[in-house]
Amino acid sequence: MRFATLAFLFDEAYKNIKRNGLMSIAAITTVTITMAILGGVDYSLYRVYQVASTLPSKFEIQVFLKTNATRKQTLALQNTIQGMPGVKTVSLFTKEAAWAEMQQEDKERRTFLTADVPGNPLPDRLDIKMKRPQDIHPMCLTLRNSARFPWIDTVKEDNETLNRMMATTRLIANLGIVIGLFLLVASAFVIQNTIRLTVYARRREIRIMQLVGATSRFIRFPLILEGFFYGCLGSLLASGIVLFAAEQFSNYVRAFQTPISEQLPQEINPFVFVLGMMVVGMLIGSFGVFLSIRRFLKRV
Amino acid sequence: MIEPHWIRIFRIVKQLADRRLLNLRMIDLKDLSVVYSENRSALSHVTLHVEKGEFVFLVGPTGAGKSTMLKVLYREECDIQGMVKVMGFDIPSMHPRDVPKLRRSMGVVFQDFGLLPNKTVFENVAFALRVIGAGRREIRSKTPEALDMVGMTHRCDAFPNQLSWGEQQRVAIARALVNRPSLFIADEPTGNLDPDTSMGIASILEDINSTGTTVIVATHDKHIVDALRKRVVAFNHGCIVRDDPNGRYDIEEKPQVS
Repeated sequence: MRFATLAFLFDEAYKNIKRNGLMSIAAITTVTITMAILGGVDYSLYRVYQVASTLPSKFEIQVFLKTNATRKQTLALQNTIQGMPGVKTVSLFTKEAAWAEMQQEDKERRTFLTADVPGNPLPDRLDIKMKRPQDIHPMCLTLRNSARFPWIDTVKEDNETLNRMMATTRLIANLGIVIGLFLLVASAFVIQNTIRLTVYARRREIRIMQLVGATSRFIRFPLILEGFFYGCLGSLLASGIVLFAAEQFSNYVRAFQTPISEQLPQEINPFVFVLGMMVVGMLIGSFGVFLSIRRFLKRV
Repeated sequence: MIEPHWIRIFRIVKQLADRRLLNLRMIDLKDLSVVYSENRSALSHVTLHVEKGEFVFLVGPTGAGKSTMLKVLYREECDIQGMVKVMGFDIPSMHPRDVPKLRRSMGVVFQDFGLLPNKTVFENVAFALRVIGAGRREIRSKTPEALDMVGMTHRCDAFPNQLSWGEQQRVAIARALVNRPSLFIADEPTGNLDPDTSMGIASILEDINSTGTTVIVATHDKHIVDALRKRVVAFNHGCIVRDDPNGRYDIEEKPQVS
């Protein structure tokens, strides 16, 4: 295709959009609304999933060492565990600190439980945080291997809560995928329908072009470009709406000062979100035109 | 002075070549039928030949098959039986991909004009050039030329719905002309026009024909047919009932002619 022709086809698409003002606005509005719903639901579901999947990481594995383990051995063990795959942090809670805390509590409550105890009977404790919650259980199994870790006395994990949390996270993820796909198909249908209307309004024009000797490709190109543009602009507006709403909602939640809100995982990268929305919108838009126009081009 | 041999040989070869080219007719129809259903056919067993450079009027009452006949020529009507050759294209066996090529080499003025409503007069005429992939310079020179030929230069920025019937007609003619086609087809180009405007259009058609373009016009307009005195092919009930080389619109007036 010659450059002049290509330039003309781009210009053609631009003029079509401008001169079919009302139709263009209708198409863009439809794309905006459907994409805002699709993007909004997907965004919130993903966010809930994000929050849910980071919550279990607050659960730690508590490793109690044998009381006769020396500090050197404890530190060596801390280093070993730190070097194991999937471990986020390993912090040492020394027996001295534990004893001091206990004595302090005793004094405050006036229970005097520690008064008669000679020396410090408490062991050192290691608190392990894992990067991924599903690694907690396997880690515990590894640590319970007494041949490999002779200085470990007991390993504690919070099984019940953890399992429940992970089941919920999985459910949210699966539900999100199903709802997301469903909405994607629904919005594709709605957008395709609107675009079909704009193409249908031009069927006479398409016929004339054919009778004057335009090839199918020549007729199709500007129209597909038009669908591309509708999808693009609609998605852009939609992602703007969703991001604005999400920001407002985050501020609202943060105002409550709940323990969750302090540790909210990082926001979804807005650039990635906008890009994703635009790709989906453009695909639906241009493919919608392609499908709608096929019927009119079949007759030559 | 005696002609040298080689010039004589050259002349004979040229004559043969010319005859050969003349034999390649513009339009060649043999036993053409367009059948819609068992007892309804638009054209039945039509045989017609049109040479290059001819001017032909197709006349006849409404529903006689004139428009169908034209539609066969630019392959809008493709439910056809028989042999149809237009500018060497074999219409019945044509691949849909080649249809644009056929339509680009002819200029057609449709009954409803077929102007693109979202384009200005200039853009409408230029569209026929765009379609063949013409460059910007070519469009800038040829489009005003065609508009000038039909006297529409002053309205080149208007949209079709801002034009009168006759003006739209002339824009449609300009679009059909702008490619300099070798075959020009017009369906009722003077329908609903006042006699003066009709005559204006008739003279445009004559100008087109004088440049060597084959012109085929389906019409009801008695005035222009009688004024131009060209070949007249009369249709009735889907059959050719008359083919006069210098005819008039009505058959009764034929004795006065000869």
